Parts: sequence; C-alpha cells; structure tokens
Amino acid sequence: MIESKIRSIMARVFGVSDAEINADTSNETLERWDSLGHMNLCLALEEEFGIELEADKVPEMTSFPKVVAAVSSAVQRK
Amino acid sequence: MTTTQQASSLTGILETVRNAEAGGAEGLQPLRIFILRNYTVEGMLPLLKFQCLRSGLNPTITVGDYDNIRQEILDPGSQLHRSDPELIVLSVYLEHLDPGCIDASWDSSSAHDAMLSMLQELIARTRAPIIVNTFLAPLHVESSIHAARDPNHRVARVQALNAAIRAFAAEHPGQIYVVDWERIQRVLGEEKTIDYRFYYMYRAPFRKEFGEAYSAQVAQIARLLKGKVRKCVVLDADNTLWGGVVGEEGLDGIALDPHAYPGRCYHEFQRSVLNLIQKGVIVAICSKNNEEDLFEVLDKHPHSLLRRNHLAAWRVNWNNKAENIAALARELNIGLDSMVFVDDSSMECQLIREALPEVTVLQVPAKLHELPRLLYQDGLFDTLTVSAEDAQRTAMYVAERERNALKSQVTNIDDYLASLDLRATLRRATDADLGRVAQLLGKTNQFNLTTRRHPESAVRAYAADPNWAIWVMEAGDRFSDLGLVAVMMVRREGELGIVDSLLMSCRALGRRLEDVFVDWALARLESEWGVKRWQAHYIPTRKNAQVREFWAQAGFTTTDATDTLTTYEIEAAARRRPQVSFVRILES
Repeated sequence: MIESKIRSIMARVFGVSDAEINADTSNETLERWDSLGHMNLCLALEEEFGIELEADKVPEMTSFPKVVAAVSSAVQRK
Repeated sequence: MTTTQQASSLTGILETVRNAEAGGAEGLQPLRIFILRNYTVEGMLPLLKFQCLRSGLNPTITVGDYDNIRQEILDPGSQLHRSDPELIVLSVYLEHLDPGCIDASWDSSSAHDAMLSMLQELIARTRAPIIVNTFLAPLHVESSIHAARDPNHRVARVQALNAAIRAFAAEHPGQIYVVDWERIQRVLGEEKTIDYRFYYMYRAPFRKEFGEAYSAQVAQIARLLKGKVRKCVVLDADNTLWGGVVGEEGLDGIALDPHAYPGRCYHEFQRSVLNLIQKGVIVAICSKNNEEDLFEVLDKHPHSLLRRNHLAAWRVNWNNKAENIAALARELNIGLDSMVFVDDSSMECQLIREALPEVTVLQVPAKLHELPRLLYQDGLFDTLTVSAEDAQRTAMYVAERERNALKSQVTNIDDYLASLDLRATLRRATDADLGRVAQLLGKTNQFNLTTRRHPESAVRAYAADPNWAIWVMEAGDRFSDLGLVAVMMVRREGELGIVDSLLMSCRALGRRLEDVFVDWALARLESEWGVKRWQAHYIPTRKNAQVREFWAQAGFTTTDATDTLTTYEIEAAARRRPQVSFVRILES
C-alpha cells in the first residue's frame, strides 16, 4: 500500500512511468534524480504522507527500497 | 491561504511545469527572467514557473552562478547581460551576504553597503525592471528580553536594512520593485518559512509555502509588467452586494445594515468595491433581476454605499451571464482577461469559468465573514503605478454614457462630434508625464501599433535622449476631462524619423483625436528635426486588429510585410494633413 503510493509519487516527481520505479531504481538509474530531484522527492513524500523525514535519513534515501524504508518508519512514528 | 487559487501538490506542480516545458505553454506570453542569488533557489524554480504559467506567462528562467552576484553585475560579458532579461530577480539571503549577522555583536553597515552598491551597480548597467527582497529578521535570538527593547539589537538592525532597501526602491519607482519577505514570513509564520534541514544540507532555506508566496508575488509583478492589468470587477447583486433577493424580500428585507450581522459583511464588501473605484478599477453589474428592483436599492437604500453613478455599465436581465459579460467587455472596450467576476452561485461561477476562461472568477465565500476581503486577496487589482487619471476613471465612463445619450439624439456623426466641444492639448512629455506614459505603454492593448512595453526606466532614458521624442496628448470635452490619453515615441536616424510606439487609451476612440495628434507631432518634428522621411510599424497582437490599417489610412506606403511586422514609409513632403475641424488644439 505504502509502496505503491511511493512508487506513484516518485514516478510523478521524476517524470517517468510507475513501471520504471522498482527494486533496482536508484539515483544512479534515473536522470532527474539529482540533488534537486532528491529535495523535490523528499518534499513531495512529506506532503503526500503528512510526515517529516528525519534529517539523517534524507541523504541515505538513494534507492526505491531505501525510500520505502525511510517513509515507513516516519509513518509509524507519526 | 487564498481563494482564487487552490493549493497544488508539489507533484502536480512538477508535472504542470514539465508539460509546459514540453511545449504545452505555447500561446502564453514569453518572458525572460534572470535570477541573481546567493543561496540555492533551484527548488523554488518549479514554483515560480507554475505561478508564471497561472498568470498567463511562459517564463524562461536563467539562474546566475551561486553567490556570484557582484561579478555577474559588473562583467558586461556575464550570463546576466548576455541573456538580455526582461525581468531581474535579485534574491539575497542575509546570512550568506554577511555571515556575521548571526552574531550578537553584528555590525550591519557592511551588509547595508554591499546591498546598496549591488543595486546601484545593477541599475547603472541594465534597464530591465528589478525585483529585490527585504531580509528576514533573525528567527532565533539569544535573548528575547534584550531583543525587544534594544534599538541596536540585530533584530532592529535588519529592520533598518529593510527600510534602506525600501527607500532605495522608492527613489527608483519605475525600475525597482520590492517583495517583502518579512511580511510573507509574518503571514505564514516561522514554521512555514524556513526548513533548517535543507538549509544546512543544501543551502536551500525556504519551505514550499514560502517559495509559493514569494513566487506568486514575483509572477504578479511580471504579469503587470507585461500589461496584464485587471481593470474591471463585474458583480452579481443578490447575495453578493447584499444579503437576500431584493425581488422577493423587497428594499426593507435585504441585509445591508452595517450595525447588524450579516448586513455588515455586505456593507463592508461594498466599501471594498468603492476603494477599488478610487484606485481606478471600474465596476459593472451583471445580475438576473428586474432593473427597477436593482436600482431601487442603489438609488434609495440608506445603507447602500454603491450608487448608480459608480457603475461603468450593467446588464440586468435574464440572459445567459456569459453573453452578458462578453457584451460588457465590448461596451467597456476592455479585454476579458482584465475582468474579475464575483457571484454567489456556484453554477454561474462554473458557467463563466468554462465559457470565458480568461475571466477571473471569484465565488462569494461560504464563510460570509471572508467576503469583505475577497477583492483584496492575491493582489488581484494591484498596479505598478498610480496616476491621477485612475481615480477619475469611473466618472469618465459615466460621462461616456451621457455622451451616448446625446449621440442618440443627433443623427449625423460630425454634428455629434462638433457638439462635444472636443479639445486636445498636445505637447512634448514632461518629467511629470512619464509615470503615466509608462503606465499607458504597459497596459494599452487595442489602439497600440507596436505594443512595445518599455518599462518606466527606459522611458525616462529616452526622454533624456536627444535622438528620441515623446509626445503626449491630453483630451477633454464638455462632459469630462479624459486626461492624458495618447503617447507617441519617435526616434531619428539622420533625416529618417521612426515611430517606435503609438498608442491611445480606448476611452478616447472614435473622435479622430488620433489623426490630429499624429499629424501635429509629425509636423513638429519635421520642422524641429528636419525629418524628410517617415517610417512606422504595425506589430499584430491578439488585441490590436483595429489599428491594422492605421498607417495605410494616414497615406503611408507598405515597404515590407511579414506575419509579425509591417513596415510603412512616406516622404514628409507627401504627407496629407487631415482636416478635423471639430477638435480645438491647445499647444503647450
């Protein structure tokens, strides 16, 4: 559930199809996932889930699985 | 936060901006913006683009190198100067301009000098309008007790710095505009202003809410610089200007009493309408009503602030409101995109949004206590300059109605024009005229041959240039003074005179004043400058088709014509002088 919502948000932030977001997706594989794209991604996730990501987690969220993990833990803390 | 805009999600904004960049914004007016900055603005760019798109602009935004403002300004070959921007945003974050500002012992004079010299250097090197920001007062102070009372505290120093920025902008009214960051912060609150995580990680201090508010104000100024001014508010009557339905509840039954609720909400809303009239906005009514019932309120209700003479026009009938509003636009000679429509019915609002998407539609808020500030929101009716003509505008439309009443009694158009007792004062523009000249250049759409939106700073430079001449015409008749209504800007290249700009306010149309003005100004330059040959241009826009044949009718010959520019020329000696006997010419 969380995973599919994150997939759709990432697809919209980076301008790709949902299918292009999978376990292998990382900041190495997506053209728009640069530092600015990363900031947009964090802000969009926070907005859509109503969460605040931990500052220390932000730089570590470099792949789809890591993003899912960070968002899940932030949602649980809410 | 606002009523005209719904909050948009970041993902939605990013998608809209990507679509526009992929070609979805064709048809919107292009605008080149350059941002000089000393912090990470990149995250705000989608927000700024989005706000520009909403304002009918298709922006190309170039961002200067990080914290390299001074060099960008001073180097004539820099990106800034090469990109020839139409608007410069000088976006300065105090903590990066002067890192010492977080110290208790901060001396603000170096930040003051750095900021003002940047502005000085910039205006010496560009004519483009500049938007500068005020600084945010420090959010965290080591002692709030001292901060509150110490006139030398850095909180007070930031305020003094901001006052200096405002004062500098006030000295350059045609070129420098201020977006007040401090006010945005006050409205949003600290929580929605700064995101310290991204500030410390990426040097990107601002949260989305702050970025949106800042971008909205920049886009607002950009919209006005491009001449997209809102000129008219079209009001529904029942449950908009007063509570209840006058046709059913009668004069005594409607709610408009300032001493009772909900009457005072409507009463105060009417007051806001009157304030807009003072600013030069014109008011029309579009209501499904019996005309007698409606005017009984305006003429007789003891608490109605709005009276018949405040109206520039009205459509009170049972027709479709979209047709009525389109007819009002034609009658008032203004574009649909300069109109704001207010109605309590969601059905009527939806109809207008669909049928006339250019019109800004506001629905009377369900929370009635929000009605009094409805028209003040989002800087809807903001203008860049205010001129003496603004406050008179409604009176001019009322006089126009009286003229039309006279016209219907006279059968011959020349008799009618003669009966108006027209007068025109023609002169070289003086310093005092230049604000109004820039205002007309900025907003005149229909009678405008080239639609060159020279900013006020450029107008002032041309006025001082011996190879340029700016002519103006003030006009009046027995009903009213029309004020300064026409502008012609001419430059010379040897014995060739080139008409750069020619425009006339639509309120002066249909009296052949333009023929008198152009003939007189050209004749003056033929003797003053020795002009032997004239060149003039027509640049088509979506709104100026009515002047397509102007130069041909004045006897000029087409020498070159493309879809975007027609060039005309004529020998000065071959120029026909128009015979207009009914205009009294006063030269000064």
